[in-house]
Amino acid sequence: MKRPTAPDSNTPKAEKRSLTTLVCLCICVAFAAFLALHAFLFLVVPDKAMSENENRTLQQKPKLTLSAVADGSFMKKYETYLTDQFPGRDGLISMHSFFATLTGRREENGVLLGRRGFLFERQTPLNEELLQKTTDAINDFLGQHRHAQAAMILAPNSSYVLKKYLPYHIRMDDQKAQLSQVKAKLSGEKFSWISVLKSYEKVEDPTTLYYRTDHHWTTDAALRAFLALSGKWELGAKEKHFTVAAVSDRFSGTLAASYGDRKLRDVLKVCIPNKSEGTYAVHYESQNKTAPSVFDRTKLDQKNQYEVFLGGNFDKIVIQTLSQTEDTLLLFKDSYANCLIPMLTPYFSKIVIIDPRYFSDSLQNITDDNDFTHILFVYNLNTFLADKSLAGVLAS
Amino acid sequence: MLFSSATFLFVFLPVVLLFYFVPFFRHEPKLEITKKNAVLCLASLVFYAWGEPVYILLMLISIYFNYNIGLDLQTPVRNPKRRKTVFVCAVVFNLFVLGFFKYYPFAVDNLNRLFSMEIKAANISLPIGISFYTFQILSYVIDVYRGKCRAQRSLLSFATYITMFPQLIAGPIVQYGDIERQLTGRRIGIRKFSAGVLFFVRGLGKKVLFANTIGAVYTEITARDVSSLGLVTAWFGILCYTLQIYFDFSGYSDMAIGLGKMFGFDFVQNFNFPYTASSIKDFWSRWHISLSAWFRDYVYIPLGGNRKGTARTIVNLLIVWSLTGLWHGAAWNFVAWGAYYGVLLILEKYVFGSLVEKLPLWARRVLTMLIVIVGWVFFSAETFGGAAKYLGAMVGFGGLWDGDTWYLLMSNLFPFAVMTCSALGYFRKFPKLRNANVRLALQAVGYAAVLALCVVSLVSDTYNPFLYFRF
Repeated sequence: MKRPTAPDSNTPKAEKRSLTTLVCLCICVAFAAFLALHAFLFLVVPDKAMSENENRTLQQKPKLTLSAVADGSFMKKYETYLTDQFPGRDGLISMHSFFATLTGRREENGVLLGRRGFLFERQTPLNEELLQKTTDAINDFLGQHRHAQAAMILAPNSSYVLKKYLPYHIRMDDQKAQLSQVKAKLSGEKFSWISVLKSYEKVEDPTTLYYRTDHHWTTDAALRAFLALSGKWELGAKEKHFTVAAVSDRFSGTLAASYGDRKLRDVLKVCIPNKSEGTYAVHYESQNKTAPSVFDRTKLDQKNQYEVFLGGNFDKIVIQTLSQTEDTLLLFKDSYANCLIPMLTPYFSKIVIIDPRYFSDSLQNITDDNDFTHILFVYNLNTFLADKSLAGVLAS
Repeated sequence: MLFSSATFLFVFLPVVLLFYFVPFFRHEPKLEITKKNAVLCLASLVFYAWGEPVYILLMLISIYFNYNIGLDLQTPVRNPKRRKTVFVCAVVFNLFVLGFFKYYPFAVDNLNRLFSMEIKAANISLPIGISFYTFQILSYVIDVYRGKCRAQRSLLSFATYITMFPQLIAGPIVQYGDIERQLTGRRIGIRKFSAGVLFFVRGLGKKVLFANTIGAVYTEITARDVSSLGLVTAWFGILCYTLQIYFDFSGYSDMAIGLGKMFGFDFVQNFNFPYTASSIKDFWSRWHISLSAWFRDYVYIPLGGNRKGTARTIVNLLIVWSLTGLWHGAAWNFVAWGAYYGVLLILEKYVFGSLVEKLPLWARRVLTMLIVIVGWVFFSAETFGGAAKYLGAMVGFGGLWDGDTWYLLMSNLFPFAVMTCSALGYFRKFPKLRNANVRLALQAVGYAAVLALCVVSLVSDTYNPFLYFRF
């Protein structure tokens, strides 16, 4: 190609034709080599069992049997096998999201890429009927436990709080209005609504409230909400009673994994109460396991480091503390609560944590055995509006 | 098996090419071409069985039956009446098979509605490509009957013609007469192969990089509540669909033509920049050319075409176009889509054609595209109601803008613009160089990049994060 070619008129026709044949030959050889190279790589590159980025097992080579061929399952599995085990698959996927971003695209697998590297999930639309059902169940439950102090921490999502970082100013629902709507539906004598948005107001830099790569709020944001709760419940907690410490600067959350790894990293922090009254025991009933800490250090070596808080999500966790108080707490929550729970430990002698999405036992058994002085709900709006399990658990 | 799959590209195709091109009978060209046909035929059967392990039997029976019909029709005519009976039976049989597998559930559904009956339709899945290969068989049977071609004496060659995997699933519909000679002798060479590679990669790019990308935008838009779709969003959505269907279909045709060339065959061109058409008639001479040609040769002209007076021509056009619609799918919206073109072609021919001709070219092209785009609304909607709703959004029932309009436009503007230019043929002679060899080399480099991007895109499509998002 770089060889200087003489002007057309001077080139003899035969030479020109042979040059064309040469170019054609190059095309044929390149194409054949391309096919052969890939076929060869398939043969030599060893198969993988798991895709860590996708959190799923990969298709293995299917067995060739007559029945599997007849019903077509062999062919389907074989096609999946080839793409799942494609040589250099992870690299190609990163490359794809890079090219897609270059063309102006800002969404992959339902995750939006905003400015300054912020990733957002799309919001759950508000379903009146579902919301009414959930709030009715909460009101009924609080009616049955009138003596207990109750509160709800319902966190807005980053797509609302950090909306100026959304790509191309995509319009999302007004979560402030949705929060007011939820608030208006809840009632109870000793019920307090914790306004998370208000607790955020004093924060200078709102980007510290949410992760770039994960759909959770940060520990800093949870601390704001907790201090607001402490005010309502007169727990006497102050910011200086807690130490917020970074435990990882390589945190890459679920949003990053869904978007296709973009090499973005967040700092993951934990919040430790300074005056922790000695030790406590964390009991995972369904796992039949007791741990001495609300943190699971081993999870920092794994892909999803957010599981450092309580080791992930479980149906029921009971925390016994040595705090000198008679107060006990019943907590209904989604994963937003996980980073907030350590802050609660100095103020209660016992905390029973229910995650309704996994909980299949009867709640009655728990409330009969314990006389809780406090009841708390901790959710984020996206999960709460989609939740179909809380109402059932509260009625059980 | 799709052409745009890793299985096809990196397992099936290399193996087939290897067996096809490694010469077994170096000094006996006749044997060698038989071997090549055998490889191709066997590969096609595997290709078909890969997606339809059961229906391969149906296809084999069909091939054997029609092979014998062909021979029978070819034998010297002693009894023209019997010959005609054989011919009619063969056509009816082939149409019955197509009708049964493709239209049986649709027919039962309509009967039930019409007479409020409750016949339960057996759950029959549609054999892939049956619309295409039935039409090819019909073209063969009819042409032999008419004496336009001679019957194929070799079962292998006949089976190769019907099953040939490059065009088996989505066309182009190859008429027997166009390919008869190539079955027994064809030039296979470096130039043709390289042209085939370029065709194939271009088609792959159209399908994977263009159609899939822009199709996702259309899917995203129609996933929303259509009644609250803003006018701009609705138009953007149907324009995306317009691009998707063109690149998808013409991409597939290009891949078929390219693969055909690699094996030494020359198939007819199937698309010729249809979105640059200046009239509806022009559009249909550029869109899915092999199908229009089939209907012209085997339905419209036998019906009398335009030689039997205006009234008959109008009826013929309506028949042909309703059938064309029905061929695309067993549902009323396809019939409506076909009839829509039938009516418009009649109007163009007898009413407004002469008026429109006075308009400048750009106005005629815009007008044609408007008609085509509105046609796609009927084509893409699953029901009449759905089509009506979407048309409502396109005239502004859901307002001018909606919340997502700006985001959708901005995040897809670049690919949309590139694809539009490509569909309108602006890149047709790119790069503009006088030296044909340099141009070819540059094109090859470009296509290499396209191929690489296709692989990136194909693999990423399977990225399937299994994450507990809501937790």
